[in-house]
Amino acid sequence: MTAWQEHRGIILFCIIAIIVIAGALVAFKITGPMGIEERFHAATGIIGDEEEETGAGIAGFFLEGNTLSYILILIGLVVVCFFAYRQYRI
Amino acid sequence: MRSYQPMAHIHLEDGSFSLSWVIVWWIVALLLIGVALWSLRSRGTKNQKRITIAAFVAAAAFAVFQINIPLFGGVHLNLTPLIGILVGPVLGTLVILVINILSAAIGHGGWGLVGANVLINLIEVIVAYLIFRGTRSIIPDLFSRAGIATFVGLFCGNLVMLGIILVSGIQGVTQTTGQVLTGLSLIIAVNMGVAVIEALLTGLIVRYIGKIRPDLLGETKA
Repeated sequence: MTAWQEHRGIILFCIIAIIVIAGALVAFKITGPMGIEERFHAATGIIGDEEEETGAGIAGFFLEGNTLSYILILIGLVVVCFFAYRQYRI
Repeated sequence: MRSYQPMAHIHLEDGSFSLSWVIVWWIVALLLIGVALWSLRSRGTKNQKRITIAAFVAAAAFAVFQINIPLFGGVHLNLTPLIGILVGPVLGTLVILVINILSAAIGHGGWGLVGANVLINLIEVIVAYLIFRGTRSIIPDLFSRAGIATFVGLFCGNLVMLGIILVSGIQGVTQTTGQVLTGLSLIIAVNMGVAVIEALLTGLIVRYIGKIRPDLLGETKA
């Protein structure tokens, strides 16, 4: 197997990643320093809701939707995983 | 209510699409879900371990789906390509449905848009699955194969999202189709930038699983 054949996957991955990042940066520059929300509003012509809640977050990371519901559903899904694993294993 | 549109997922308020289009996308989604259920039923229960994996990826994708990442103004990961790679399009369809319903239940996206979002995510699942399986002989390396499948899957999902929005139209706006197309194309370009993170993450997860349990990926040990 030649070096190209051995590494073509990762080379292709890197080429795609570079093109994609370059495209994203160009698009971000064209649309200006606005959030995806505002960018979407501008694209579709929707008038944004001024009274949006930003939600508590850590270092810019925050949860979408209701936090309590998120936690409860996640606990439910973990329980389902536990029983699925007990029943079927992997 | 927020109206995010990060990655390939329509996060519009209910009422953005006309009722007829909401119904159309729901019907198409339900038809595909019906096909998945029929396929699952006809194949029997010989792949029971996939049910456990489906539960795991559903929980992981739901958890990640709701976390807003402060990049390019706010985005989130989907993990839909990973779902496609690990459980395939049949179980993946059901996982996607569950995630979208649960997301709408906590206020992340409108209920009326669940049908359209299922279609978008389903395309990501199917395309990633096909690319991952179809390029095995060309790209033996799991990391890059999964990463490339993720890129292509998410790109196709974005295109479907674009198509759905253009076809449906958004109620109460004055933008021309050309303006919406241009604006959404730019959003897709930004979304794909974030897809790099998802591709890296999916590649690493798949490579790790390939090392410890290659049978789960349908791969034979070297």
